[in-house]
Amino acid sequence: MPENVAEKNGIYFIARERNDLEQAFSLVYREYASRGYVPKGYKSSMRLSLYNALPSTTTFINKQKEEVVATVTLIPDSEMGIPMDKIYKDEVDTLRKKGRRVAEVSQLSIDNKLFPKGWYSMFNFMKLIFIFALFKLVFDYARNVEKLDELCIAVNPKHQYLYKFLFFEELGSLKHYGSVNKAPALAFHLTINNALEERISAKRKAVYKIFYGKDTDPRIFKEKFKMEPGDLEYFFLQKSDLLKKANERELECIKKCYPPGFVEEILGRYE
Amino acid sequence: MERRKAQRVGASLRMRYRVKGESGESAWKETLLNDISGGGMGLHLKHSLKKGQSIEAFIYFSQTPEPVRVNAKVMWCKKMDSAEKEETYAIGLQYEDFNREEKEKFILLFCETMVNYFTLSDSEMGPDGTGPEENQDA
Repeated sequence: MPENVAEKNGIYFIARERNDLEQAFSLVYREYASRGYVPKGYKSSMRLSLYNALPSTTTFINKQKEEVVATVTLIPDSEMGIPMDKIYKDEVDTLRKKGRRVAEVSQLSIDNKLFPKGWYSMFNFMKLIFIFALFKLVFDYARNVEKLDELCIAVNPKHQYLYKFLFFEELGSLKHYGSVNKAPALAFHLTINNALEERISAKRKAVYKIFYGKDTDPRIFKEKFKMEPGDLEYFFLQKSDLLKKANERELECIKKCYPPGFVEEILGRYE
Repeated sequence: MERRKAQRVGASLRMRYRVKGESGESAWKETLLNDISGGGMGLHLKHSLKKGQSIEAFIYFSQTPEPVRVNAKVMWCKKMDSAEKEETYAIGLQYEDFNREEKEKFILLFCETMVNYFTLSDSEMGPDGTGPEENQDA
């Protein structure tokens, strides 16, 4: 990162304990609520989804003085699919049919206290580089750990330029996304391959330096928090009603990730 | 200069412009920008402009020979102290409007110019201080 932005602006790492996730989900809720992205009747002060209960889902954070001030989550494709399948399944399927390993970048949130209000992200270098540092973690994890081929994202059209700047290409046209209170959305994808590196290296020296200059220390990724049965109960029954609302297919996927009978047992306790 | 804290980019980008007035437009002229930001640009001219005057301009970013068309308004104009015989004026312009296509071009090109400016070392930059030399087509 230029000028050691990471050191200057807190520490970037993978969520490694329950408290990291709790703070991250609370930050997402606060930021989404302030933008009107939380649907009426949403019954939690945390913004999370059943995808967060899957072991393959990974949350990245930036912490300043023990407080999570930025977060983003990577959700690799699974039997449950990815969140944006709700409105862009046909589009994501075109990538799956090519045998591409797909994941969705989701729940990006930055504490709005960090940067001056009224500054458009694309014109504010410090904010931009702060976001890039978070994306750098996701990017390195996606290509070096998960060996993914495609990063997909559904974004509000007002944020589309950030992704275009980062070589994302349009995957799906304008739709309205129920899970963010029917806010407008566009789908983008980034193909991670040698051609991407060659394109960036040839045309975009600064971006190349940021994203390919130095790989993230792989030890950071080994500290990833593993959600235990107690955490499932805490986040998905005590702090939200997501497990109760899960459909059969979702429940089957979740059950496979936890000890046999555990999901049924805790669901019985919260009836 | 505190390069990395500034939001303005001290890039000497080429700009072609004409001033719009009640009696029509002036002839096209060319100058170099003193700095540029997401909200406007600064330049030095040998003549003054009136606050509120409208400018039609084409900004030439180093990444592409195709300029970005902008409309801007004079926000301030100050005579500079100078030992030279010719008077020089520092002028601040604010963008007025972009059409959708020009807006996207401007955002992406400005953003890259800014990231280059604050990220690359002097030896990695081109002579105008806006980007790597090998990228310069214009």
